[in-house]
Amino acid sequence: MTRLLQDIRVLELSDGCSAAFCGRLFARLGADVVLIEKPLSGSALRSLPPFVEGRAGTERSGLFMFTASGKRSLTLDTAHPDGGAIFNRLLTRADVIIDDRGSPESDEVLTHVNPALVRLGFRQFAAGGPYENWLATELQLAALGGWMTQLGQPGRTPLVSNSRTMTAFVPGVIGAIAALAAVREARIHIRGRRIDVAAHEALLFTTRFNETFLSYTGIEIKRAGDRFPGWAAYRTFKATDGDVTAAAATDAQIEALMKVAGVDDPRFRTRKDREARIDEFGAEVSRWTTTHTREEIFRRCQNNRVPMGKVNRIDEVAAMEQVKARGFFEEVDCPGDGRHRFPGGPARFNGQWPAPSPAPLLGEHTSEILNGELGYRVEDLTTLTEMGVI
Amino acid sequence: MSGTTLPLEGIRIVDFTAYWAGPLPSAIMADLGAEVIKVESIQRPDLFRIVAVSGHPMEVYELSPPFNATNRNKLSLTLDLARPEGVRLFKELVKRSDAVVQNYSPRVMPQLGISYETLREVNPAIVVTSVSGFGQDGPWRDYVSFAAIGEALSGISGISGYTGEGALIHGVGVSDPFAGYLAAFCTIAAIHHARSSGEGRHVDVSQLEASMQYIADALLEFDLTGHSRSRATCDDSPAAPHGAFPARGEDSWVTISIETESQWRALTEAMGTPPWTMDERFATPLARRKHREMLNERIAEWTAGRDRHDVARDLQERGVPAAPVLAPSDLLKDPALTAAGFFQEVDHPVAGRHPYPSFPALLDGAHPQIRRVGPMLGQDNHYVLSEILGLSDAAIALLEEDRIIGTRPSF
Repeated sequence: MTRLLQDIRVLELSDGCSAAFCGRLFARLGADVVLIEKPLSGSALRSLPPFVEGRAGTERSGLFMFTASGKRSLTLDTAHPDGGAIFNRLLTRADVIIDDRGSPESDEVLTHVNPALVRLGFRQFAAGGPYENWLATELQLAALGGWMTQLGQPGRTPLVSNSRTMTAFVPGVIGAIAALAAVREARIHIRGRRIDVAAHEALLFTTRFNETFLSYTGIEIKRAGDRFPGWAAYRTFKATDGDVTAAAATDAQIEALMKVAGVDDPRFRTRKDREARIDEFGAEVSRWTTTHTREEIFRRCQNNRVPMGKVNRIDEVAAMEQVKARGFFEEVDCPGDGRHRFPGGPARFNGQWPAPSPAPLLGEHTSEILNGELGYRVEDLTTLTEMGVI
Repeated sequence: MSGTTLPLEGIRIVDFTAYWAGPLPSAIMADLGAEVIKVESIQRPDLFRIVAVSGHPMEVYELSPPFNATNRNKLSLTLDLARPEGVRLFKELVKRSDAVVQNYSPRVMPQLGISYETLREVNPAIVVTSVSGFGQDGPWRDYVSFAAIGEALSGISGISGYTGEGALIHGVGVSDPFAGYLAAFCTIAAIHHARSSGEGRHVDVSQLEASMQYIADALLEFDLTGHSRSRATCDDSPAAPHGAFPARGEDSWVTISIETESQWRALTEAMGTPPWTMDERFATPLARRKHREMLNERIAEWTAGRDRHDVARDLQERGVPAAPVLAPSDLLKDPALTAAGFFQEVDHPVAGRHPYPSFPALLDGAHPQIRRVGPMLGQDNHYVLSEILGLSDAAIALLEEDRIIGTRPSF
C-alpha cells in the first residue's frame, strides 16, 4: 500500500512546472489533489511541450500528463461569484492549497474560511526584495541562484542543462516537503501556515553550500568543466563510444581504478603525488579508457568497486538493465495515442512503486466533485456551464 | 508569525548517513523542527568531515564546511555499531524514534544487524529511508555511486554541456540533492501514515531514479516523439537570444532571454538600435533562432564592455528577462539574499562564525532558524544516552571507556 497520504486533500491552482510537480508528489502518494483549471483552456501546462507525436493539443502535453498523474480536474472560474462560492466550499475541506497564480484571495480570507489550511505559494523571487518584480526564465533563476556558475568550462559561457524541468522541479519538491510537514502540524494545532517558496532560493540551496565553503577557506568553487576542481579521479574520461564519469573519492577507490586501468607508475603512488600531477594522472587513465567502450569501463570498474558511470544519451536511459529490473518506467495510457512509457517515482515503499494513474482530461471530475461530493444538482451544473463558470 | 514552534516538532529521526545525499533530507527535517540524531562512531565518522577539506584528518574533522552546513540543527551521537552493545543502543533509540534515514550501500545495514526487517521487529511503526545510488535491489544494487555517477547514467550529463561537445560535470553535484529532496518528502509522508496506522515503511530512494524524474521533459520527449535531445549551449528553448553573454571583467556574464517580440524591440532599443538589428536574418523569432550564433556574437559585442549588473537592471526596467551570473563571492553580498536573510551567521565552537544558507521556504514569513551547525563528533552523547535512553552516568562512563562512544575519532 503506497497511498500514504490518502487522508489529505489538496487544491492546486497551477500554471507552472514547480507547483505542478509539487502537486504530483502529493497525488502519487494517494492524496486527493484537485487541479482547478480555467474553463475551456485549462492549465497553462497543457500547452507546454513535449506533445504526443509533437502535435499540440489540450490532451497532448506529456509534461501535463506526467505532472497531473493521479490528480482530478475541476474547471472553475474562481473570479465568478458562483465559482468563488464553490471554491470556498472546496477550501473548507482542504488541507493544502498550492497556488502559483498569485490568486487574489488573501491569506486572511483563506484562514477565515479554513484556519487549518496550509497555504503554499510559489514565486520566482522573494517578495519585498530587489528582484521581486524581475522577469525570469529558468536561465535568470539559475544565474542569480548560483547554479549556472557551476556548469561549463572555466572561462567559457556558463550553462544550464537542456531541461527546463530540471530546475523547475526543485522549488516544487521543496514546497511539497514544507507543506506536508505543515499539514501534520495543522492537524494537531488546527492552525495552518503560510509557506512561500522562491525558486531563486531553492536553486541556491541545491548548490552544495559553496558560499559557506568560501567563508571557511577563502576558496571559491566554480565550474571546472569535466571535473571537480582538485580531485584526481572525479571527472569524465573519453571512451571509444562516448564519455564515462569516474567519481573516485577515497584513496582505495582511486587505487582500485589505477589497478583496473593498468596504471602502475611511481609518479602516482600517493594522493599528494596524484594531485600534484593531476593532468598527467588523467592522461594515464585515459590511455586505458580511450581503448574501451563505455559499457566495458563501467562494468570493469564497478566490479572492482570503483564508482564509475557511463554517460548515457537520453535514448539509452530507459533501456538500462537496472532501470528495467526495478520497473521504474510505467505504462501510461495517452488519450487517442495508446500506451506510453513515463518515468515513475518518487520512490518505492516496501518494494512497491505507487500505482500508475492517468492524468485527468480537462474538467473530467467537475461533475463528480460538484454533483457527487458538494451536492450541486445536475440542473445547477448546466446553468454553471452556460455561465462559463465550469 | 511563526512563533516558537516548527512543523515537525515532536518527530525524532535517527540519521545514519554520510556525505550529502543522506544527510541532506534529515537536515531539512531538522530545519523543520524534527529532533535529528546523527549517529557516527569514533571508529568510522562521516567521511564528509575530512574529504571535503584539506589537511590532516585529526586537525580538520570539525572544520569541513559542507559537513557543518549539511548537518545543521542535528545532534551527534557516537556508537560503535561493529559491537553488540552499540547495536543494542541503536535499537533502543529506534524504539523511541519515528524514522531512520541511512545512505550506505544496501549491504551495510543487514551486515550490522540493523536491517529494516530487524528494526521493524523492534518498532513496527519505524520508517526506514534508504538513499542509495541504484536502489535496494536489482543487478546494480551493490555498485558504488557518488553524485556524478547518477548524473551520468540518468541522462543528465547527456544534456549538460556545449553543443556538439563532451560531457561536463555539475559543480553542484545534482543527483545528491535531487534524491535527498524526494527522500525528505517520502519520509515525512511515511511518518504521517505511520503515526495514524502504526505501520512503518521501508522507503527506497535511488539517485539514479530520482535524477530521471527531474529531467522528465527530456525523457517524455523521447518517448512521445522519438527525439533524443542532446547538449546545447543555449538549451533547446525556442527563445532567441537565450543565453549568457560576456560582460566587463574576468569571468563576468549576463543572461538575456527574449521570448516575445516586445522584448526583442526593448533589447534592440537598449542597444541603441544598431543597424544589424534591422537585418532580415533577425527579423522574426524563427529567423533569430536560425541565425542564433551570429545573433549571439552581435549581442556579445554590446555586452562585453558593460557591467553585468547594469545591463541586467537596464533590461529588466525595459521588461526583458536578464540577470547577472553570480558566483559564491557575489552571492554572499547579493542584496536580495541579504534582504531576505537567506544566509544565517552561526557560531561553531571550533570553526567560528560563518554564513549558512537557510532552508529555502518561508514559514509564516520567516526562514526556519539554523539553531546550530556541526554538530561536533559525539557532542550530544550524554543528552541522548541519559535523557532519551535513561542510562546512568556510570553506564555512560563505561561506554566511553570501552570506546563504544567518544568524541575523538581514530582515523
